[in-house]
Amino acid sequence: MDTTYERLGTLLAKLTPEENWTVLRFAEFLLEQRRVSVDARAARRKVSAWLVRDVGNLLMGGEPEYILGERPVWRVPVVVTHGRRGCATFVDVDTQTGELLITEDTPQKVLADVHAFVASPASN
Amino acid sequence: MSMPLLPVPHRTEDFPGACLPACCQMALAFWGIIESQTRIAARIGHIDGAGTPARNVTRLSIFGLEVRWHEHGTIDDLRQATAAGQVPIVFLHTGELPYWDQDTPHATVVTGVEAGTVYVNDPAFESAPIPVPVGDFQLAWDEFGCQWAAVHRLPNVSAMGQA
Repeated sequence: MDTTYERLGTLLAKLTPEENWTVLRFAEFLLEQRRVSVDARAARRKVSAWLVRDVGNLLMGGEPEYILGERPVWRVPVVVTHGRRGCATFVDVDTQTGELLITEDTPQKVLADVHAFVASPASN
Repeated sequence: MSMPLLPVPHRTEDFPGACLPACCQMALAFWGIIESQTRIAARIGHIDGAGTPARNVTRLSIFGLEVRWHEHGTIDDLRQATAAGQVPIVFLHTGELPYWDQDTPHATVVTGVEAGTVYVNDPAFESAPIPVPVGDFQLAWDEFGCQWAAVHRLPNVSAMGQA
């Protein structure tokens, strides 16, 4: 183990401060991921089930992104599948508990974002 | 012994994204109630681009039908429902269905379950029923929490809720 740390120390000493910072952030990311108890697929399915049930049956969850922070979350895109197809907004899922981070106003907010997305002429 | 499939009249989508109104139309037609998909869409709160909150299918009760909403359903639930003459509407992820080449949320009607096969009336296709291997069906259903609605007629109640 000591040898491993010595090797890492030698390696880090060769890096620039910016490179050291990047390595540190990557190590933090790996540590955070070890604490994740809800995987990306489960988060996406949770959002999809909620969208279909409570917002609109033509919406579904996209590929989640892991967001580091005080409360790490899976940020799941809300995908519009008819008309103009693409991501209209996001819904967060707690990576520890699997809780959807929504309020009773979230369905209306999602619908407003979907309307704006569908109405927008911009390409994806 | 295999069960006969429910003779649910097949309907296709009258407008883009009308899979749920089309499924509701099939369920209503099974009970002898003829309604347009446009009127059904208005009744269940269809919104262009987003569709309908799936559990709004319970609003079909205005036609004198009983609609029970379920989550975390099982294949056996569907088998029992169809055997009891109820029309199940299920919510699926088409990316898992072998006869689809698109990846989208979708509603279909289940007309029967046999060992290894689920039969669906899929409103995106002209032919029906379509046999789906139970493993593929389960994957497609799992993606949306195995949500489904059982549509059946209340005893002694005619169409539009008139006793």
